[in-house]
Amino acid sequence: MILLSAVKMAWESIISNKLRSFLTMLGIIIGVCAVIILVSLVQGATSKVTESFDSLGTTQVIATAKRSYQTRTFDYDDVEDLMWDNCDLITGFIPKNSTSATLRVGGSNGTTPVTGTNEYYDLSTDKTTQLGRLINSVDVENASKVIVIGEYNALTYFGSVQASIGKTIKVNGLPFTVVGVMEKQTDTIAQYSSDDMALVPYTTAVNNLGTGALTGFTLIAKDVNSIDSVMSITKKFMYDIYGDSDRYTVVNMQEMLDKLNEMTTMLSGVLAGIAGISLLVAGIGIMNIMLVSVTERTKEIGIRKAIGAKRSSILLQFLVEATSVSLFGGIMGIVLGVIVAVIAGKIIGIAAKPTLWVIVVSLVYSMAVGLFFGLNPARKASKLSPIEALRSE
Amino acid sequence: MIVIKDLYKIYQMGDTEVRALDGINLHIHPHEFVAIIGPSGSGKSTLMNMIGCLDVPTEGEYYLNGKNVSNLSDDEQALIRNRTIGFIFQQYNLLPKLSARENVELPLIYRGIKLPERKKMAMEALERVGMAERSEHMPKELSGGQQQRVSIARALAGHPPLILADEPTGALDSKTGAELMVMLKELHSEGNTIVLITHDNNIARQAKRIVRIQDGKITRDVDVDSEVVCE
Ligand SMILES: Nc1ncnc2c1ncn2[C@@H]1O[C@H](COP(=O)(O)OP(=O)(O)OP(=O)(O)O)[C@@H](O)[C@H]1O
Ligand SMILES: [Mg+2]
Repeated sequence: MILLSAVKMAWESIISNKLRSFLTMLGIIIGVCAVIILVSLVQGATSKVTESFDSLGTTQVIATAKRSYQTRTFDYDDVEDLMWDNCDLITGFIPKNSTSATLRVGGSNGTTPVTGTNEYYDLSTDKTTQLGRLINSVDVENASKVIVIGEYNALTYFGSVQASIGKTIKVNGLPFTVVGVMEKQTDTIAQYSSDDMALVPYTTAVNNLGTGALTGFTLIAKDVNSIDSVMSITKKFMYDIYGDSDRYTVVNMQEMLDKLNEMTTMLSGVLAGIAGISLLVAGIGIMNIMLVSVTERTKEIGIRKAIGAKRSSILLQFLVEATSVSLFGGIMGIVLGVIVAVIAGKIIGIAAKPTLWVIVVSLVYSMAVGLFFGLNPARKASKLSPIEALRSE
Repeated sequence: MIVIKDLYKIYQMGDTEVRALDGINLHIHPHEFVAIIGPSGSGKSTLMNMIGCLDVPTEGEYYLNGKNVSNLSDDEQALIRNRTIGFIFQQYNLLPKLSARENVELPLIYRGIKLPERKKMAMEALERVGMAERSEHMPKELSGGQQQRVSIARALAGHPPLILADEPTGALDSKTGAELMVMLKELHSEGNTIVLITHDNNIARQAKRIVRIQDGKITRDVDVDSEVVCE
């Protein structure tokens, strides 16, 4: 009951001095707003990256020679043997072997990234062909001049996806037969996008496109549980070739995902810390204004005490006032933060995720700030002597 | 109702001590109407603060309704002020941001009376001082006399047995002051105990008993009916 009228009094005092109340709240508003925006965007960015990692598959183990050691290479067959030796753990391997090549049909031509791959290509991605087929083991064995092209290339050189199957396309001057068209990867289907690409058999790439020998490969583990074993097998394989663990990297998607999560958790922590400090500063602002307010309202406090307000009533009144200011500021900060985060997310292409816990934590924290920093002024007010307070003007 | 025994209030100002109250003995019975007069600085307000449980004495005893209240804590004093005493101040002391009715409700809020009942009591009190139709006005929209009526309503709202008024007519013109005195006399006739501080002998004469203070001591204590006060 007393609480209810304390809330009403706090509200009246806040609106009777709108500019001051707003300026006092501003610190909280900005602090909370910043927290909501940053955390929402970080969460949005994280889940975007996580999704794309997930689509690559978390069962991949990627071995790569470091740039300055790429002169030392290894044999396709050795990697294939490694796979067959551990066929209980490994279901596929994909050589890493890319180059740029000139594609030409009739008069039109262009430069396109060409990847030499094998029959396991589909294990490394969730994308497949929309028409025709991928590279198969016979292609690799025979080093056939077959090619799978992206939708951009199909449209550019043949006019349509259907029209391109079975046609001949010249790659660096050599005729290749189009056996498949990849499904669309982007909305725009432009040059240099992921739709501007081509796949050829790994062996063909080495023989005819001069991609050179293998400098890296991806192994596909059978399931998540075999990842650790595959990691150690791969590391041993690479060590035997390079003789120094500094000369290559062996990573796993899950590991990278864990690292990413670790980093975003740390980032969130840092952000929360900065936000905490800014809210602390805002709290000091509230305390300052509340102290001024107590001094200004000494007479009022005297009157209230004279007609029977206990210390606890005065304490409650000022605490509720300080808490209302900070809570109100917090709510405004949350609303503003969510709006800005969503708009900013749209602009930079991230789906901002203002999660419930961020909102709840900001709300509780801003309330706590008001309560904590309101305590001292409220105690000061409650301890005023009624006669002295009444005598003040 | 009020029994004060050898009451001292001494302010230590550096080396000198100010004896604002210097051995006061005073009995006030229920339903009395007492005026306290005396020159400026004589200790009237200090005495009033003691009677009103706003201050504690340096020495001496004060019994209110048989209870020793000379050494109570802040909150115990607040409780007594809220239940048994209604204050009327020279400067009205209304809260400027509250309407007349809300001002009158204030002591009832601190007493813990819930809303419909509280509003009813406040309106009754405003009715009694003839301010019912101004209940939603803010203090600054009221004249001095009207504000003082509202402050009387606030003092009355919780039906405290004792009404203390420190120079209630001090800021009013003589006509409004006279109206206010009529109101206080009415309250007295309805059974309230009233203690009134004033500079004005004409005002004091309307009480039933006059206590004169000088330098913190009671120098005269007379019943108005039995003796004419001359100054
Ligand atoms: N807080 C205080 N500290 C020091 N001296 C004080 C204090 N309060 C009152 N006094 C002194 O006590 C004496 C009595 O003061 P009081 O206010 O009771 O006078 P009063 O009779 O009400 O005067 P007035 O008619 O002017 O209102 C004065 O000399 C005053 O200076
Ligand atoms: Mg005085």
